[in-house]
Amino acid sequence: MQTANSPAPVEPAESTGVDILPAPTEQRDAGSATENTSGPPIAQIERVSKQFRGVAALRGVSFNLERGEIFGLLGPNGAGKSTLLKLLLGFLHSDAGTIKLFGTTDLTKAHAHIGYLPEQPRYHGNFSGREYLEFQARLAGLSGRDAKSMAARALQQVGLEEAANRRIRTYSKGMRQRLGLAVAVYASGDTPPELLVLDEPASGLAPEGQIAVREVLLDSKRRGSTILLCSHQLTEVERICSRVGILRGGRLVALTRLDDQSRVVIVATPRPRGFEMAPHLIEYLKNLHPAVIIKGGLIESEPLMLSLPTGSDVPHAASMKAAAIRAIVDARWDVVSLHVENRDLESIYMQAVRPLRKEAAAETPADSKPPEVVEVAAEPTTPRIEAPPSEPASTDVVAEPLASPVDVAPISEPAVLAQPEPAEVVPASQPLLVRPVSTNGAAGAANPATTPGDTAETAPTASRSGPSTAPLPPLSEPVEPQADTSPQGNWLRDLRREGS
Amino acid sequence: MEATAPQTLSAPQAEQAPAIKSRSNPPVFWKLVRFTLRDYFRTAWVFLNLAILVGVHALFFKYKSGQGHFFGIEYAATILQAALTCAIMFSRSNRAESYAILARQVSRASYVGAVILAAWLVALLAYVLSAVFDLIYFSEWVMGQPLADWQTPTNYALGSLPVLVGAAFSVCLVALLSTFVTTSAVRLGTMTLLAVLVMSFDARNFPFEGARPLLQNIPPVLAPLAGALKFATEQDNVATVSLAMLGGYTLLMLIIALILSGTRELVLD
Repeated sequence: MQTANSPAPVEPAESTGVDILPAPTEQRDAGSATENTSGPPIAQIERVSKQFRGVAALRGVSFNLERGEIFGLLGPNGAGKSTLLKLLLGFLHSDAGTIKLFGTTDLTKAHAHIGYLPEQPRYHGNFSGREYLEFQARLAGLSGRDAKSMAARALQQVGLEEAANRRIRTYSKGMRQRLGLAVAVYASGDTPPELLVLDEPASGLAPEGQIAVREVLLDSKRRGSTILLCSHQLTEVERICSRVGILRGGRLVALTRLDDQSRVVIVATPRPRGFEMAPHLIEYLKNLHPAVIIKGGLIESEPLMLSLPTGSDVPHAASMKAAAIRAIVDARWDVVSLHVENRDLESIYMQAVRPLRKEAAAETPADSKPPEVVEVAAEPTTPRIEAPPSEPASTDVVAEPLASPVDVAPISEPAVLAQPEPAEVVPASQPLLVRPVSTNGAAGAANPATTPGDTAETAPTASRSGPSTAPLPPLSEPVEPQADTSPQGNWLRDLRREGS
Repeated sequence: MEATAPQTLSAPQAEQAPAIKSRSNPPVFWKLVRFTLRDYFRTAWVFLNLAILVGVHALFFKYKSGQGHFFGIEYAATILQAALTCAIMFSRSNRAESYAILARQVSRASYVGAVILAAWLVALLAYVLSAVFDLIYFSEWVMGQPLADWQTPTNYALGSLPVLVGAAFSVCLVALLSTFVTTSAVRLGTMTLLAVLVMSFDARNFPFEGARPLLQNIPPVLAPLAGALKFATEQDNVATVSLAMLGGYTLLMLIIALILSGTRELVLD
C-alpha cells in the first residue's frame, strides 16, 4: 500500500516500452503547485495504435500519466492528439494496445473520476449556463440542492455569473470555453476530478482568460488532480506542465520532463599524464548527479564533454559545478570551454517535430513501422556516457549524431530502455539513452531519501551512495590551474576557492 | 528540496488503485431522458409535431368517425410522429455537444436508450393530445351532440395499445437507422432487409427475376405491423398474436440498437 509521501514506484520499462521517470518533487510555476506522484499511474497507455480507413492516426504510442502531474501533449495538427484523448475517454477504440485508467480498462467506469474539456466546447445551446452546469452536476452524482450550489460557485469561479441565466447559444467562444472549464473542473463537486483531460483549454481566450485558465489548472493540481493538457500554446505548456509528450505523425517522438532543461557544458582536454586519470575522472563525474551526461574522454585525442544540469530547480547546482571543475583540474585536465546551454520547449518541440530522415513524409500504414520514441537527453535521472567511435556500441544505435550534449536521442526500440546497465558507454557519434538501474529498481534513484542536491553536496567525498561509488583517487600532486587572464580563468579560480 | 504535502488529497488517491465506484444506471438514465425532452421541447421541432397533429385532425377526422377510422389514422400518425421525433433527437445527439455528456459516467447504451424513450414519450404525448382533442372537439359540449358509442375508456385503452407499440417499433427502427447508433454497413443492411421484406409481399415487381421465387417463399414478416392495428377494434387471436409479434420485433430491435451503440465509436460532428 502506497502512502502519499512514499517514493513513486518505477514500473519496468518493458511494460510500456517508454522510459517512465519518477516524477519530481520540485515545485513549478506559482511556487505552490506541488506534485503528488505517489501511487500507480493514473493512466497507462501501452503501444496504442489507431487507424482511420487505412491511415494511421496513432502508431504504438506508450506512456504513463503519473499521479499529480500536469502532462502536456503537443504536436502539429493531425499528429493524433485529439485521437489519443478520445481513445483515453473510450470514445474511440484502439486497433492495438491497451489503455488503463485508474487500473481498469473499463473506461466508462473511470469517467466518474474524469473531467473532460473537448477541443470545441459545444454545449446544448437551448439551456442556460446554470441549467447546463446543474445537469452536469446531477450526472456526476450530486443531489439537486448540491448541484444548484455547485453551479453557482462554478459560474463564479469562471466569471460567468452575470451570464448564468442566458442561453448558451448566446455565449461567445470564450464564454463557452469558460463554461467548458467549469463543467470539466467543478461539476463533480467540491474536489476536482482526479484526472482532467483538457483539449486546448485556453483556445479562443483573451490573455486574462488564459491566465485565469492557468490559475484554475494550477489550483486543480494543488487539490490533487492529474492533468492531461493538449495544447498548441508552448508558452503556457512550458509554464505549467512538468512533463510533455510530443506526437508527430501518430508517433510519440519525444517524452521529456521540463524541470531541467538548462545545463552547464564543460569541455576539457587532458594535460600530460592527465589521460591516465580519465577512467577515474569519468567515474567520479558521472556520479555527481543522475542527469550528468559525459561524452568522449576515452581516447587521448578526444576532448571530454561534461553536461551538468543547472538552474534554480536543481539543488546545489553551483557546488556541483565547482566540484566538477575541481575534479577535472585535479585530474590534470584543462577546462577549455564552459557555457550554459538553455533549451526551451520551443526548441525541444521543433527538434521533435522536425522530420527524421525520410520517414516522416511517408504516410504509411501503422503496422509498417515500429514505435519510435525520442527521449530528450536532459532527463534528470538518466546518466549517459559516450565513448569514442572505436568502442563497440552495446545497445541501440540511432542514425543522427548528437548536435549537442542535450540533443534529442531517438530510440529505435523502446524495449532497450529496460537494459539493466548502471551506465553504458557508446560511441560519441552515436548517442544513447540508458536507464541506470539501482538496487531498489528506481531509475536514477539509488537512495530515495537522497535528493540530487544531497548527492552534489557530498560529491567530492568517498562516502556517496549510488549505483557505482568510485571516489576520485587522491592526487599526489594537486595541479593548480594555469594562470589565465581571461574572464573564464578568473571565474575558474573563484570557483575553485568557493569549491574548496 | 522539500516537497510540500498536497493540500487536498482524497483517500483513494493515496491508495494502491483508486476504487472505481459503480453507480446505478437508472438515475442517470432518467436524468438523460428528462434532459433530452427538455432540450427537444426548447427547439422549433416541436412545432412540427403540432403541425402534424393539427393537420391530421383537419384532414382526416370527422364527427362520429368510426373506431377503426380513428385508430387507423392515429396509428399511422403516431408512428410518423415517433419516427420524425426519434430521427430529430438522434440527429441532435450526433453532435459534438454529446461529448460532454458521454464523458461522464454515462454509457452509450443508456444514452441511446434515453433518446429512444424520450422520442417515444413525445409520440405518446402527441397521441394523447390528439385523442383528447378529438374527445373535446367532437364532444357534446362543443358539437351539441353525444359521443359515438365506441368512445368508452375501455375501447380507448385497448385501441391505444397497438398505437403505442407501433410507435415503439417506429422509434427502435429509426434508432437502428441512425448514425449515432449504428455503422453505415448496419444501416445499409437494415434498409436492404426492410426493402426485401416489403417486396416479398408481392414479388412480381421485384427487379431481379431470378430472385422472385425466393422472395415468394419469404413469410410475411412485416404482416404484424398491419395486423396489430386490428387489435384496436377486434381483440381476436390474429390481432393479439400480431400485436405480440410487433412487440417482439420492437424488443429485438431495441436490444440490437443498445448492443450496437455500445460498440460504436463516437465521431461526432
